[in-house]
Amino acid sequence: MKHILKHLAALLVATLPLALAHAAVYQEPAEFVTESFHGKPPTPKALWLTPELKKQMQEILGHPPTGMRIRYWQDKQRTTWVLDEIGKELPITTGIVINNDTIERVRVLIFRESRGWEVRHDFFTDQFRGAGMNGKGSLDRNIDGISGATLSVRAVEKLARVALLLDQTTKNTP
Amino acid sequence: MHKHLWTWHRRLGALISVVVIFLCISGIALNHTEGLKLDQRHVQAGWLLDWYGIDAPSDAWSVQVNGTRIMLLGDHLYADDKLIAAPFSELHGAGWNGQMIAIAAGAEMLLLTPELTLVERMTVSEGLPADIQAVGNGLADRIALRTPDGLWLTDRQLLGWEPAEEGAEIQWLPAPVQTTENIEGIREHYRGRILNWERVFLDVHSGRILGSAGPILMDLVALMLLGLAASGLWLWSRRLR
Repeated sequence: MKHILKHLAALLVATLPLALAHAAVYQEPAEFVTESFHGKPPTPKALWLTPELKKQMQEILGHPPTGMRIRYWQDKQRTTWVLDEIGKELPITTGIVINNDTIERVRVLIFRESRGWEVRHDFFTDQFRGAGMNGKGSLDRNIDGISGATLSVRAVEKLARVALLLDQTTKNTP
Repeated sequence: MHKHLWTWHRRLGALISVVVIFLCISGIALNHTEGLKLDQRHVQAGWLLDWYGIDAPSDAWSVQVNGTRIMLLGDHLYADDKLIAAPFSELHGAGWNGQMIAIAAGAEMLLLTPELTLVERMTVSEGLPADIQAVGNGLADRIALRTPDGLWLTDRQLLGWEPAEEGAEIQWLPAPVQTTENIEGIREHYRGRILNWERVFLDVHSGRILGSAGPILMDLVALMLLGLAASGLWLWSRRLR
């Protein structure tokens, strides 16, 4: 009996790395950044997360952000962000380009969940094009969901809002 | 006949009452898994972990940097006694650039403050050189890496990497060594992160907590409950007459 439970425990330990190993990479983040700046990406910068900014991010994400800084790439009014957010159990890596306070492009780069991969399609990510923040910290437009991919949709939408917030912060930081 | 059945009805009820209590508690708990965060709460009780046969690896790989012991136990990365992140397949080394601790593990580099707070996780996707073999310090404490593609040096902010020449002045830092000393506390922590309460309640509810005989036992209990319901109904109908 203990033998069976031992195998069960081993299975539990093995599950996460296995799941991670099955990540679908639609585009390498470095490639996305390079493409966003027409082949000439600027030197990365780091935005340090102040307690106030962490609080604002937590309000959007529903949990505190990981780490103390986030790297980004900036050329004049355009910033590019590569951000992670968990859909159901594993992080979805998403690239977001902000130009003049509105979203220019959203692309799902790495998808690790077993369900909800439909968010990678252009018909979904194109909805974010031109979106900005309203006064309440939400997107100024409605994003149509995808049935069966609710959590992934929610995660990408949160990341779009976070990217707009971070972009705004870089412009307000001296 | 009536008295005989009544006696058996009571005996059967008493016999399975304990199992029913467990079934009710585990069933209610499972119905509220998300609210109770059962999938996020881990079992710490040593006897229950022993029952499941869950153990921690008996040896670890560690390296000292800026007075901090960086350790990889199983696939968990610790700085002193603090869990930093998981999972990682290998610890390549760690360095200090005068501001941050840089740990090369798996295909990532993790940056920590001196207070061991995670600053950032850098991956190959973000420009980190692949297949790190060793960590060192270049001039002005810049972190250096050795990879099959050559030597690399980072900037002061640890944001980007640039190739370095073979003869660059780099002091290579000690490679991680296998250790079994003073790891008991970390082993206990490791063990306490494997089994969550949702799994335990599922196993209690299905009987699998008792091994392969458990589900058969639960089948028997289910049959007994059916018998109890049937005898109860029969006794009740007799009373009405």
